[in-house]
Amino acid sequence: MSSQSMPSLVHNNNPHAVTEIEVSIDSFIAKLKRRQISGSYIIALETLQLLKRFISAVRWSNVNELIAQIRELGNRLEKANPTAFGCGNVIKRILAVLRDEIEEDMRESINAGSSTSASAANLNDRNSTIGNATQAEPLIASMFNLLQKPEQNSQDFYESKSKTKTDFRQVVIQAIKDLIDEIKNIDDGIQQIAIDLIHDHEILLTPTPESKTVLKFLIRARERANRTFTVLVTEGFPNNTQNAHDFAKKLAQHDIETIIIPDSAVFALMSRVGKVIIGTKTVFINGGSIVSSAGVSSVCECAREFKTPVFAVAGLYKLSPLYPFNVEKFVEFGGSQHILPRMDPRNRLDTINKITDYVPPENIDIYITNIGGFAPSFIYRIAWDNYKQIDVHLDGKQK
Amino acid sequence: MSEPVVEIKPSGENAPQVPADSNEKKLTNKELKELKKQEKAAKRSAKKQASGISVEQQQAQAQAKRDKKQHQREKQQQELQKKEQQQQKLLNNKNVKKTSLFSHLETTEERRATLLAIGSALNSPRAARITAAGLMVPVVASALSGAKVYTTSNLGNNIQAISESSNQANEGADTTLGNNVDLAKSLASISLENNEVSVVPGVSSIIPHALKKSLDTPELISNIKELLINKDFIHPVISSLTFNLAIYKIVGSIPRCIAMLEAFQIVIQDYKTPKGTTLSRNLTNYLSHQIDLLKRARPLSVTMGNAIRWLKQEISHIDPSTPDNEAKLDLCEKIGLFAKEKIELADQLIIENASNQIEDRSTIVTFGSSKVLTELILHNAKVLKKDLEIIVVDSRPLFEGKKMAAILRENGVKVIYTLITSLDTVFNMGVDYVFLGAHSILSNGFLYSRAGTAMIAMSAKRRNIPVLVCCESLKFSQRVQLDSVTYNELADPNDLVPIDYESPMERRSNKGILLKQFVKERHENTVRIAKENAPKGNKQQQQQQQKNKNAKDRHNKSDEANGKEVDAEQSENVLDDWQKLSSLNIVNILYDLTPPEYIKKVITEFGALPPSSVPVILREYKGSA
Amino acid sequence: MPTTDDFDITETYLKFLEEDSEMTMPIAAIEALVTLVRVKNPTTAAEVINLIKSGAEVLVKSIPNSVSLRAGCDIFMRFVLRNLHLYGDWESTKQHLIENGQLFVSRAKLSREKIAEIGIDFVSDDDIILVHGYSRAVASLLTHAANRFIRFRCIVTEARPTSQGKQFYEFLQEKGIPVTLIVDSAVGLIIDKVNKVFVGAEGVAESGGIINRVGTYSVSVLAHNAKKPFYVVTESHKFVRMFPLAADDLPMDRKILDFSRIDSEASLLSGPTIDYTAQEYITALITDLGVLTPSAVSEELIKMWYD
Repeated sequence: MSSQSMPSLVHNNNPHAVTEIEVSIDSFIAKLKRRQISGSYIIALETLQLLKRFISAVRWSNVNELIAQIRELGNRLEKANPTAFGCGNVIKRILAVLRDEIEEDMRESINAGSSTSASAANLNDRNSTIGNATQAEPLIASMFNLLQKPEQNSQDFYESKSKTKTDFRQVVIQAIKDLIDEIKNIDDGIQQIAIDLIHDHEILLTPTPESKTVLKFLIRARERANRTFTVLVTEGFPNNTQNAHDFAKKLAQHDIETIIIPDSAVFALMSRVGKVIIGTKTVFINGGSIVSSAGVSSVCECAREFKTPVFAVAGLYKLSPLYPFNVEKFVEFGGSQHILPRMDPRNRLDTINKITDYVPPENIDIYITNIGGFAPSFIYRIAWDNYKQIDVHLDGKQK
Repeated sequence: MSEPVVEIKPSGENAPQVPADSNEKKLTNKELKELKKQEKAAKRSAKKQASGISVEQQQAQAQAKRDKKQHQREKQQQELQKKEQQQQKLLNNKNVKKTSLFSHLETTEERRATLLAIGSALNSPRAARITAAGLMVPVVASALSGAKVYTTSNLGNNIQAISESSNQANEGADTTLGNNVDLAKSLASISLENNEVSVVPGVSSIIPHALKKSLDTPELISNIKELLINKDFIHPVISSLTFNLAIYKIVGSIPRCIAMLEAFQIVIQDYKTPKGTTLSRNLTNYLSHQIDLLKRARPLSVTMGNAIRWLKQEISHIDPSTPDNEAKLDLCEKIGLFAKEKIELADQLIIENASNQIEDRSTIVTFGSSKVLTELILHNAKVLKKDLEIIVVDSRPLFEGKKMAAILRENGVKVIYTLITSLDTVFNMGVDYVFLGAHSILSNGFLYSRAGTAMIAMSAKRRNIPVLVCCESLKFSQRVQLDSVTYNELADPNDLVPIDYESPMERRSNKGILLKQFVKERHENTVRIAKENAPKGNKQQQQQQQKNKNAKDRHNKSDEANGKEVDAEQSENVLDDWQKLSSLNIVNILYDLTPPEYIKKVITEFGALPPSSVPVILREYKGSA
Repeated sequence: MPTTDDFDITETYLKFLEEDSEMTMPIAAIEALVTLVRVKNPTTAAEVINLIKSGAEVLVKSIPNSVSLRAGCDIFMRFVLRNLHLYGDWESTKQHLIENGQLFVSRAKLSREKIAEIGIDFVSDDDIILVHGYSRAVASLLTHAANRFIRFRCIVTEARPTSQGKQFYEFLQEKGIPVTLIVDSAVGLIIDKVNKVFVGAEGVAESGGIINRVGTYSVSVLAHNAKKPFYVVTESHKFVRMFPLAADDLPMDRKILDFSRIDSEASLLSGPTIDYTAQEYITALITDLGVLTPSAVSEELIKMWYD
């Protein structure tokens, strides 16, 4: 993404504020590109902070323009690091809130005008253009699209009547604040559900030691619910071993029986494991997820083979409306130095060093999110509750 | 845990500085603090000297200060000790750290404890004796690690726990040091790497533990006793082999078996039948003693077991009337033939057979390193000129695959090297076959092989990639087993503590580091001895001690400046003090069990078979042998 | 009670199908019903409902392979009911239906284009795709992919007894897609070489399972066994409120097993032409509503029937 494309979009009413925000966007993008910022939690929060400042800084004349600008920003962030889904996710959620607001506003203005059935029917049409088909009106099933009345081109038709620009800005800012709150309080929601899923004296296995959510949840299960259990931690060599050791140590310090096992011992011990707990980086619409530790997909496969339940913990903000068509595109690879630090320069070996891993939906039994537990096959629904189909791909033109 | 610890403590060390709960802290922190303190003291003294205070005055002052400190320290030391004792109790309760899952298996610590006891007994026979208190093994290498007292009071306790005073032990160290041979030295060096104390298979620390344990595990101590009684029978070749096995210098079931057979050839050649008995009766017995020691290094591999069984049978078949020399020659020849037939020729047959399987331009996944697989691939690539792509999957902590990948690469084979965590990607690369080596195939068709094999076989099976196992029939075992937990071998958990890319074997054989460490320890030791003598009023010594300290500081600093990464890494691992956390465990199992349904084919010298045919071959094999 | 004595709905339906080869059965059924409404011109809401109901019944009964058209009748019925209930405004609904008959047809075709657009990500370079039966949705998806210069190859099954496979083979050849034809019994032989399987559907049951050309079930089981993704490409108007447990529950044109027949050679091999594939064998459904998991189908149907 070129950084030059932005100023052309931004109106120059307040050049100072604009350049300032431009600088912080550029520095954030640079950080994303260099992978200096990691962890979906931090990425999501920082994106929201940036977005908040962006909203305050940009100038726009109508709401559609605002949407276009937010999309543009989201597109730049996504391009900067295509595997940092946190950016796209939160921006798409804010967009969804904004679009809902527009929709509501439109309905109000129409109702104010006339209240005949004809206008209601008109509304339906607009729903299908503005909102996404499956989401829009609770009463109109998307299958009926086929039989709807001819669509009017309502894209240009809409102009905010009852609400002013400041109103919309307020809405977006409020939505950002709410989302930040939600992200910050995600652990509580997850813990309450997840604790009920483990029993006393159970042996748990977690292959994702970098997950703070898993750590907090286990400690809480020990301290608040006073369960005794054993946690097996895989090492995730080579990229995650440090995390694994830290994780194990923290657990042990909280008086949780912790055992570190090498990645190769997973199959041998799986028969003794009661449940596998994984933290996720991104959850896709098909119920599969990207985890930030290599080897997790093999662990989950083992669990499937042994019929051991796998439960994944994920904050709602980790849900992505994307479909993982090409998994290899989403999985990150690292350099060889972590695998073979000293190589014979004459006979260099090719190496594969996976950093993240994709777990297909069939190997996960349940997702615990802050708003409840869901089967992977139901994730699509939760995603469409929070996103609009139109915003799935930020790079395309608005249809 | 008795009071005198204080005395061994160098006076420069400010024990109260270290809070009692600092067990969780890294040692290096302690050391650093200490060093800083010493530096300060040195500076202060220099200043004082500059301001005109005489050396005597200064020393008197220092003495007074020290006395005061000593008081303080003693007080706090008591508290410290109390806490330590509590902790010790905790540890004692657990004895050696064992996870509940594997509590039925012998840990490396236990093995090493035994081995060490025997090793020291073998090498310094005059010092070993069984006392009324139980087994008394003067700590051979206490000189090597005794210096560690300097940094860890815990270790001092352990030394105290031996009925002899530490001073004596230290003095004796110099003499025993000379007697050290490979075994003791290397085992000691293993312990030296582990900066941690309590249950580390350290030289000075583990013996008392083993002693304490004797209450709990009588069989272990009786094992040691028995071995000690029979120590005179043990052949030096066997003890050096034991050492090589124990530090994973020789790995893989076939190399281990070959090494053992070679050692036996020497043992048999050197064997002399005692009067009043015959070779065919006594040799078996004699070999049993050797085997007893071998077992202490690592549990015998199935190949070794099968070979031993065969050998004993051969010995019993010897006609008692055969002259000893002839019988010995005959046996050695037979051993050679056995190795040739069961391993070399078998491998050739396997390679021939498996080569038919491998199509040109195929991609093959292997795991770890296997002798027969390396030969198979080289044969196919070089002799049969097939265009192969090999993906070598490897795993912590032994990294055996590195060796195999390097050999293949040197011979111009396309090799991709990866770790088991990237398995998913590997199998998305259009893999045609998975070839696996084996440690053993059990008679219920399960494959018993290095940990991780089962996962690879499972992943391949789930993707419809055929899994082939190349395995000499020597590796077939009568045993049946259903899961990996019931019978397994526990390796040293400390191998998993450092987060680096070296296998423990490499790390241990890295002489430079060991030597450096040794020098450091020795240095600290002399400093400590000097310090101990210091309170008796030897001023000169004290001065020297200070000098030493400064010198050491400088030395350490320059070391750090040099940025010896490995050294730094070793001392800065998160889990360096994992033993102190009672609820933290590290399990490092060596093997796992692959169910037969994941295996398409087992290729042996008898041809390719389904795993279910293992018992058939076993019957045949037993008949022919 | 108006009867259909002067208007033959079945004939109308068949005529629609004949006139436009691109038209699918549910759309033809909807068109036929629209024509029925137009011809009969009912005046009250109750009349409309009865008219459509009886028309649909006749249609389902008279057409042997009725799964797909049943979906069309269902959705039409539901739409009319919903609109009557919601707005109580029959006239405007009727007006809309009668005026826009042609629009539905074009929308149905549009939905196939939409499917092709959505599904294009499922086809990638160097793929070998197995196709069973002739499906317009699959055809449109593959054509779209070929037009986008994705280089893939196809294996088409013969799909006996209708032998639609041959037809599809010719279609793909015409489009310049490398393709080969195999007998149905050879699927097991080649399944390991295949990257993914595409099939169409006559109807999608509530469970997310599909009703399709006979042989689909065997192909799906083989694909499942070989761990190959099995995609169903279908328009959402084929979702039908049925929940068959097995093929026995389907309305069959012929007996599944007939031990009595001993006549000519030709009829010996002509069993039923459809079978049922349970949802566990289906990786995903590529529809105009997006890529759905089988469980999402039931949600769409629930949304339509219960509000």
